[in-house]
Amino acid sequence: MLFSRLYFGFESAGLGFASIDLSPVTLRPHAQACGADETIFFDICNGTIRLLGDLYRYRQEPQDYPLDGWPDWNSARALLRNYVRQCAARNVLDVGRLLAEVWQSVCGDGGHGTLILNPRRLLVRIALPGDPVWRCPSCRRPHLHRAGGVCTRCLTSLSPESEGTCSDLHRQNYYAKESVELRVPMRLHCEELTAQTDDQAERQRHFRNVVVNLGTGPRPYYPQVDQIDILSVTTTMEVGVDIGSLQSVMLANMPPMRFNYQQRAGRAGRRGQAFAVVLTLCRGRSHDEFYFNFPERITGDRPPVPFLSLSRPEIPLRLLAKECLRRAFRTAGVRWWDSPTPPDSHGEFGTVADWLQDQQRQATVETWLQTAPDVSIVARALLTGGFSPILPGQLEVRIRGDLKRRIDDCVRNPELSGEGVAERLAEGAVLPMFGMPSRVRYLFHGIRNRTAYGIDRDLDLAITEFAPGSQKTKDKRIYTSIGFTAPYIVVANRLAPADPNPIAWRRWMSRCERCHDTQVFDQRPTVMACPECGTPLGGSPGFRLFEIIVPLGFRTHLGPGDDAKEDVEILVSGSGIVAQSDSTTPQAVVGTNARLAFTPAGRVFRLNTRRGELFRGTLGTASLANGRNRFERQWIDERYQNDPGGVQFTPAVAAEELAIAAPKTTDVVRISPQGVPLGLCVDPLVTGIQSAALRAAYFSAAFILRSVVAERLDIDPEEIDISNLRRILTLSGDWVGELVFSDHLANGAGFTQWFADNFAPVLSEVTSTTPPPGSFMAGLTAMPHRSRCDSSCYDCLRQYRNMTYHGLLDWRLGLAALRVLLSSTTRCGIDGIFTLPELEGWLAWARSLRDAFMLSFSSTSREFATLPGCLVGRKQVIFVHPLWDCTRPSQLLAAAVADADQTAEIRFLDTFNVLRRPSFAYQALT
Amino acid sequence: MKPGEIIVALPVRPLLRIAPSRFVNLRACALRELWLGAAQPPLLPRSPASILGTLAHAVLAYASNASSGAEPIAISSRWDEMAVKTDSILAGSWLERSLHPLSRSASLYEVVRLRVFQQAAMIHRNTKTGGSSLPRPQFGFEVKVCSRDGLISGRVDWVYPSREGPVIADFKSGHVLEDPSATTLRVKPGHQVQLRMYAALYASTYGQWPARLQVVPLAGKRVPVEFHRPACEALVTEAARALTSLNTEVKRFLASGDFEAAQRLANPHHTICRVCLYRPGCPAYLRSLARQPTDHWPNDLLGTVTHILPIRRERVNVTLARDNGTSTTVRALSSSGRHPALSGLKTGEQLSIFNFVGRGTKSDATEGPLTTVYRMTQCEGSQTQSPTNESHD
Repeated sequence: MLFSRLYFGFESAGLGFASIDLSPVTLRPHAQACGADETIFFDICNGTIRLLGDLYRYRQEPQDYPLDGWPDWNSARALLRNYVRQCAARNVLDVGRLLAEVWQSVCGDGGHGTLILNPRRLLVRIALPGDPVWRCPSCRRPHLHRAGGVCTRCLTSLSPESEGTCSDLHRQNYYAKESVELRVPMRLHCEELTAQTDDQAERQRHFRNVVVNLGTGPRPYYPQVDQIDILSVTTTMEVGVDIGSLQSVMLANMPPMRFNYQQRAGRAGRRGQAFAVVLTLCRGRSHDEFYFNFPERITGDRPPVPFLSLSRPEIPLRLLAKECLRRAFRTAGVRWWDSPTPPDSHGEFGTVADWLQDQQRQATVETWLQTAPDVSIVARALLTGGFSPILPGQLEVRIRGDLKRRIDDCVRNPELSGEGVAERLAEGAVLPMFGMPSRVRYLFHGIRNRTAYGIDRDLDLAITEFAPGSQKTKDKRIYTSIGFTAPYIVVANRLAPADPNPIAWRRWMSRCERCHDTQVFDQRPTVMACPECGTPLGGSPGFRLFEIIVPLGFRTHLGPGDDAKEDVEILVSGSGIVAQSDSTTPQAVVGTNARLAFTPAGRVFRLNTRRGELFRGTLGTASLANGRNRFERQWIDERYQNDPGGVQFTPAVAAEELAIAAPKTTDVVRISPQGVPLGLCVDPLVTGIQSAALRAAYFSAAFILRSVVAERLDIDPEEIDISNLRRILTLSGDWVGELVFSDHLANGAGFTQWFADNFAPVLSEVTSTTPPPGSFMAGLTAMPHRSRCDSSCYDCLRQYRNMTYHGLLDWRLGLAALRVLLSSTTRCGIDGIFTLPELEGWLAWARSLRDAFMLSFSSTSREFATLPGCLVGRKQVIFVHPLWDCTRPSQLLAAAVADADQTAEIRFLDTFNVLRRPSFAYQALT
Repeated sequence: MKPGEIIVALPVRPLLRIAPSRFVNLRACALRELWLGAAQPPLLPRSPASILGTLAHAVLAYASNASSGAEPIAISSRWDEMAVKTDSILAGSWLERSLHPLSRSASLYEVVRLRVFQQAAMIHRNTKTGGSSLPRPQFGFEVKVCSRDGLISGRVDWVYPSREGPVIADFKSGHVLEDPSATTLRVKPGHQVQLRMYAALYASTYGQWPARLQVVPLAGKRVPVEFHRPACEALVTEAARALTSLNTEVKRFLASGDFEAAQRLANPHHTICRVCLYRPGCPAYLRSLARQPTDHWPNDLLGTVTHILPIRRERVNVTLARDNGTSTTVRALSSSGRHPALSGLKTGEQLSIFNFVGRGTKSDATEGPLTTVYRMTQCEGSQTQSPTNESHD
């Protein structure tokens, strides 16, 4: 508090300052020795004390950074030394003498040896409202003494005359005002309430000031202590929790959509309250910035039209399967008590083990499915109303003829890990998921009373949020994941891992960092090079071979966790989605310039490779340092083995390196240009800054396609994942990008298959100059949108969930890339024709970007044939469309280059980079 | 010699004449000029930029030779006609097939084409505005120049009159300046030597020194080249002396059968060998490369095949072990047709790979459009041939 460098500092608030603990009698000889006035010398010493505080020259607990002593001025930070030197110059004193006497006063008599502050030898001088203030004319830092006439922050000279008083500072400083006005302290007991809170009901009671002792807590509760004033909550609070009357709601970021905002804001001001306050803090990211600029959009946008998919047979088929199986298993005598523990939330169909052993059960279910009249009754009931084009008979045939086989497939599929038959059927897309995450993994963080406490996440998220090294906060504690474990269950009156192997699934993956070819093997393969591009093992970027695993669960050191501090950065390992390459040969799509490969049941992996370094560790026995919480068969990351922040660990086998995966079998479709149109470049890894623009073009095209497909299928765009962008060679030897789409749902929902089957008409609609009225494309290309959106916005490609792509998204580029997929004769304006919606006005726009660029950077305007450009030194800079091939100029660009002086360098700047990062573009020129 | 196989040490013969444009190259490496003079076919593909430059020069020569000045339409037709011919040559050559068509392999094809048309238009204007009435042969395009002894001769692209006297101009389709980013415009040293020799030869042929020398890029301002008459004459004298001396030496070792002596005329250096199309057949270069493979040398590899790994799309990774024990894998070499040397290749054979792309580190050596593969076969010596005509300008 004494030494905060900013607005919150004690002295900056005008409340007082830290002072050296020396009497005038002790100071006087030092002042005289350097020829300084006593008051000035005292101020210089106090200025030195303030600077030491600014430089964190005091012991802290914990001491995050080493605090080494400075044995002399030469060892000290230059700022400190220069401050004393400036003071000498300002007061016409001998520098050497002043340095020596300040050193003796501060470090010797003052007790702050080696320039480390000793709090016991500091005095705090309390300021009165009328005390003078000297403000730095440069940085405006307030000083409550003259500090030797030199600013303690920027070393600018301070005016001899004071500028205002401390009361002026008090009025401007919230904390100072609270302090001087002696406001009564207010209690603020803050706790969190999330889905991970161990006792959510108790937390809610305490927030509503209901404190009762049920004997379940770790200690007795007291209203004065345990009543909660502020709840820090997650989206769990958005619906379904009656939390009572709230005086205020503070949102720590902008909610994804209008209805999210209204759900959250609407928590305040209920039950007859006259008013309530809702404050939304906007972060520095594109989503928050957009709604900060247009708050009416988050409070009053038109609600999205709810939709029901009526034409996809998979959906009623799954419902029919569920109801038929419920009746069939009941007929076979299976009841709820035959389900695994904890119960299978997907249905009461018993365990996988029982199904495999009990032939009678299988026979009964099969017979029921083939003969029971219920199947047709349920099918007709499901399709009542005639809204769906699907016929009940179609569904009935599949249930009677195919369902038993699908059950067998699921229970024998090693990649489906649920214990219950129903869970496996749900994961295998035989039963509906109803949005319920069933691939849940726990991060176990503590053991109490033979109960393991944990936080759960779907496997897709767990592989990053729970990966060793990642941290999670819960109830003001930070828990660091250190490895894998099977879930803990009580066995023989003590906790033990439920499975002897914490890793449920292992495979080998080969992945080429150059061409992104990805293969998965059951055993370690003998490949020495990428089968696609030949890149040998190793190197960077290189061809890599590594093991991928799916853990049953994750664990911390099972100790109490660390104190959560303010502003601490929570570490999370990164992940990406990759699709396994397959041998499906892409086929040319008639009437387009695209090649397409559809792979039913393709493999898609969300992968955490620890940014390529992999996780290194091994199986063994782990316990806390005191020997408690000792468990065998734990996989512990090497970084936390026998480490103060980890566990006592005895390895049982040799160390291994691996990546964590969330595999998914789903439909995959790959789309790439068949040929590269003359004059254009569509290589996403082209050399130079243009590659960012090309990646942007591909991703923008992908998001446009996804939106149109979603519109046509009447589904949420999130149902289709954009897996990745790969660089591949065309048959004619040109590099192009390949877009990979997959169904979001495991085992495919049929959406990408429809996309693959209807690609040509979809592409035709997307690129039509007369899109259907009211459609997504009509809105995208409508004049009002064209005129106000120079890249992407919430009316076209941006969504909350594609926030990571916001910087790349550009509807014009996306549309241009889609035209490349449509036709090899597309020219993207390089032929001088700029009439298409995405090109209209491009020349004028490029010229305006050039002009803006020239205002920022020293350059001279120059036209190159019809293209805008400028001269930066002797370099001739031509402004180009991001899809134009600058290495092989053609048409307009060739004319521009031909117009340039052959004796000087020619450079190109694309409008994508100039618009988004002009400084970077300028740097690229030099 | 079959495609993809090479006999190290090519035959040579004396040179009758030398052109100014070749003198700089003669100074750099006499052996290369001898092979060129002996009309030895190149062992590596020409760069697309060089082929394009040749095409551009040919079209400009046509424009300048057309009796009444070529109309733009005729120039365009001529370009197309010559481009077809060039493409046909490329398509028929196992070395340069990967550069076919030139419009795809030469990155500035369309730019150079437009610039040639602009220059041709300039020539056309010049011819129409009285250029044709200028006294021939000392003015105009493709002006012949020759030293008194006939050893040095060539053709100046363009000589035009000015108030101060004749101006010698040389067209350049490629880089003109030594450092394009420098503020002072300094023509490449080789171009300077060439133009200064033209000045002396012009004086020798027509009895009048030019007033100015200029390099004329296809686009942009003409760049002057300063000259002093004695220095220009000294260059011609030096060229004649060098040619005489070289021919004497060649005749001597041809007479004595000392074929190794020809190899002593080589001057292996990375700056010289980088642009030499005979280096697969140059023992001096191959020895230097094996002795001191550094980053400066061309991306070439010689060694014993230790591993052949077929990958998709009829490509192979080939690993070569050098004599010094290091090895490099060149990945994704086309195994179907482009490189005859890879047909039936076995481990243990000697192979050389020229112009691979990348830095040659573990994983980034791969095939580019100029990559050429040879199986190496040693021969005992070179053959003798009769003296050749002048080298090309």
